[in-house]
Amino acid sequence: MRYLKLYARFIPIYFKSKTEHGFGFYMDFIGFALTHVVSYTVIWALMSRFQTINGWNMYEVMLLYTLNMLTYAVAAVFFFFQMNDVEDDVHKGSFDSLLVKPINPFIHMIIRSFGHFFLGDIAIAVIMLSVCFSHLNIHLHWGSYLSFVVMLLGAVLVQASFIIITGSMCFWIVRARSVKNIVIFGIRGFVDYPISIYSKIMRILLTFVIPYGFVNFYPSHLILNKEGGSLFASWLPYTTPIIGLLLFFIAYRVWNAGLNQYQGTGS
Amino acid sequence: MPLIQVDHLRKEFKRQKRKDGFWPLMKSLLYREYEQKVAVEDISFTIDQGEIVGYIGPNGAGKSTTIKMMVGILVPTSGNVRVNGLVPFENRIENARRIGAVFGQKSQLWWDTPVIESLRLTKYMYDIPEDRYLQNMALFSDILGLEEFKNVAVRSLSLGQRMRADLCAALLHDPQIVYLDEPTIGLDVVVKERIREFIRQINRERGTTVILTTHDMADIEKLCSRVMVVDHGRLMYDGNLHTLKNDYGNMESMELDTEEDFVMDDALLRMGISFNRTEEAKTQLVYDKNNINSSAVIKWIMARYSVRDFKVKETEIEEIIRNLYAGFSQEEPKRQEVTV
Amino acid sequence: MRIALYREMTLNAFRSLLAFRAEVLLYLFGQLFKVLVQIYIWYALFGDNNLLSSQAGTVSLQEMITYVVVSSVISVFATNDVIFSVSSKVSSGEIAMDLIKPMSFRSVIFCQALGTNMYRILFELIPLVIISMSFFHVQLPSLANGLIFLILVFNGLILNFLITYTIGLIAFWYILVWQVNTVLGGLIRLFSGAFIPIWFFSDSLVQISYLLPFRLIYYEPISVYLGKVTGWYDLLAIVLQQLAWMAGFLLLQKWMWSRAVHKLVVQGG
Repeated sequence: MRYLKLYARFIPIYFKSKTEHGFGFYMDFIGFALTHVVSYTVIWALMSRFQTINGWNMYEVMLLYTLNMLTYAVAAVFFFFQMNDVEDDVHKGSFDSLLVKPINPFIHMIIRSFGHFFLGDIAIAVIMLSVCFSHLNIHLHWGSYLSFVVMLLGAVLVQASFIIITGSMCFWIVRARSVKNIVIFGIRGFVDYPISIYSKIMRILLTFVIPYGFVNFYPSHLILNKEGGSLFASWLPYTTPIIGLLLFFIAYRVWNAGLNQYQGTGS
Repeated sequence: MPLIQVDHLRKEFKRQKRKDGFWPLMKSLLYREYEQKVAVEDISFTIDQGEIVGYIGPNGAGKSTTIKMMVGILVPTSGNVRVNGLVPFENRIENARRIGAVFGQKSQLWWDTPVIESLRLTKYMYDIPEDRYLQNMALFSDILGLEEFKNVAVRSLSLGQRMRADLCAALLHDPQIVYLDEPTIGLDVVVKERIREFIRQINRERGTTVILTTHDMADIEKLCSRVMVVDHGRLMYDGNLHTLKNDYGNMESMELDTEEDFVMDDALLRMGISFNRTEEAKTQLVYDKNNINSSAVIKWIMARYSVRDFKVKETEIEEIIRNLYAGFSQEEPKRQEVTV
Repeated sequence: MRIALYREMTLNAFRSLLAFRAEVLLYLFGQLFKVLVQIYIWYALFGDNNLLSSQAGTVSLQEMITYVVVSSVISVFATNDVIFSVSSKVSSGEIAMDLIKPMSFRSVIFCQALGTNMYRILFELIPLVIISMSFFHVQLPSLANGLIFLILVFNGLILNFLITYTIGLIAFWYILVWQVNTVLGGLIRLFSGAFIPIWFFSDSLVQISYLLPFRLIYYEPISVYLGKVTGWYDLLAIVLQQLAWMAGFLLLQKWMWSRAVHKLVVQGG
């Protein structure tokens, strides 16, 4: 409760300082938005020529892309720039300021900044989600909606965990940002298309080792009429929230191990 | 013909008005409002070969802007600069070959490159003949003490080391003129002294013209024969340091420590002496040394008090400059800002 | 021409990058992942077919895999940080330090880009080619096609530099660097044929891409590599278009620079 109150105080300050940059503040949203416009156009250009990829049609592929973007954006609002700040702090030696405050450093890390960049992504994702739903004729009753949202929350936790784990690498290695970039902008790109197109080894990797498959591929099976052929088990999609919680727990442990490392070496 | 000739130089900047809020911002996309700022209003001077000129003034007075027009980075709004007969911004590259510059806050060296490599690159940049390069390197690294950090990447140098390396790079090609924009800012006394000695030596032995901006009055006192003071984009004083001291530094102060409590006397006031109490509760008398002789003052006091100790001090250059700046702001209280 | 100066400046940029070898390894992995994703996508799109019809006649899976690899090779060179470095120099005022040097600002930036490219050949291109060659069956061009391909890629990269440099100069008027960079990156990704060859485009997209210069950097050289363009007349047309766009951007950046010089503002007064 105390933390929420603190957060409520931090956020207006953050927005005030950002809007003072004026024009650039609004262009941030537009910049990100345009990237996605291009991505959707690429999918459109490809799918209007080929109709389906591995049995997935244009709007189904767009749905996958949208879910990846949406869950990432929600996680990134709270973690992306925050973890970048942590890395900067560790390099500059100003990370101590987080440790001397009477707040759990993990919470403090989250609430001292805010990823306003990603709000534009979320808006686009919601619009595109409804576009895909209407083209795919998906009509859910409220119970299914609710369980779909729970799945997506699990997916958000998966996304957040990867940001935290890769970001925490800065406690051990100097150029941690490259690790983060390769996971978040490289490996995450694998799930922009249905992972059933990949070889079995890669599908196993994306399901059990680096479970990005739970970000969009598995949850989407709950609302699309897909044959279970590409799944390892038909109940796998339902485990999304559990995978999310488990991974987030691991991420938190990694973060704590990083803190110990930092305090141990006392750089 | 003078080496540098500056005639009625003027530089205005247009600056877009900042807008707050969403709609004013969107509006500013369609048409923009500018406000105009005059950085340099009207400056004229000439500098001859071999001079060391201190170009001083408060922050934002127009020093850097003038210098950047002289090196050809900025284009004047009106007026003329001629360096060696060339208009710098029209012949930027030709002009750049003959000058060296150090801008204290920024480095012209390559950030990720070791000092020695960076310096070697300037050899190619300015087409310095190999023997001349080696000769200069030997001399400069000796005076500036570059040897100890010549293999270190520029980014990991301390400020003092970086400044020495930058100074070396600016002078390797035997430029006719060097522009030094705050070359001693943030440095410790030892490094400052080293840099000053280097500048003096180069000027003496090679006749290099030096134009120097600084906030450190010791730089001025130790290096410059001529001082130009600029404020509000105008030249307020141009002359030698000695005259400046005489014209603005005619006040003298006497610090007294007396057994009895000192009481200011009307007789002293009539003589034109003013009275202060110093922080250590000593007496301070200030007077114009052109009108009053210090021995007359001390004689008058010795007759009335038993004096434990006394000191006579000339006004320091810093105070002269401070008086000078203060004088300007009374003459022209507001910066000129024109809105268009 | 001051060859020695250009050589030294380029070598210097190359050497400065040597400090970042760990990053390179990771970047290389990233590049490989992209190639891998694209190859799987084409596998899936081809399905059971081995040949697909396109605007350039039939295309085999083999050719598409080669297309993906060659395209990623070009992108190693074409992905530069010219826009970023020009605009950050302008907005930070660091450009002043380049302007006191006796060489043009464009040459300073060009040497830096060239040095970066040299570095990439060694640490990114060669590993990428070796790995791709050993895991995927990449077709080799005929000697003639290969030589023409090299000429076209060279022109394309110069064109690419001029485009990015010109866009970087916008920073004198607007400081919207990364947004501009992102938009340009997106446009190139789509309309250069770097990802989807233009021969699979619908007519409307084909028309747009022919109005833009980007296909001259990726699509046209790769088409020549694969032997899809053979007529001397067609080859000449590609070269002439490249030269025309280069001339256009050369004039544009000259004009912009002459205006930009008057826009320079220096902090500090």
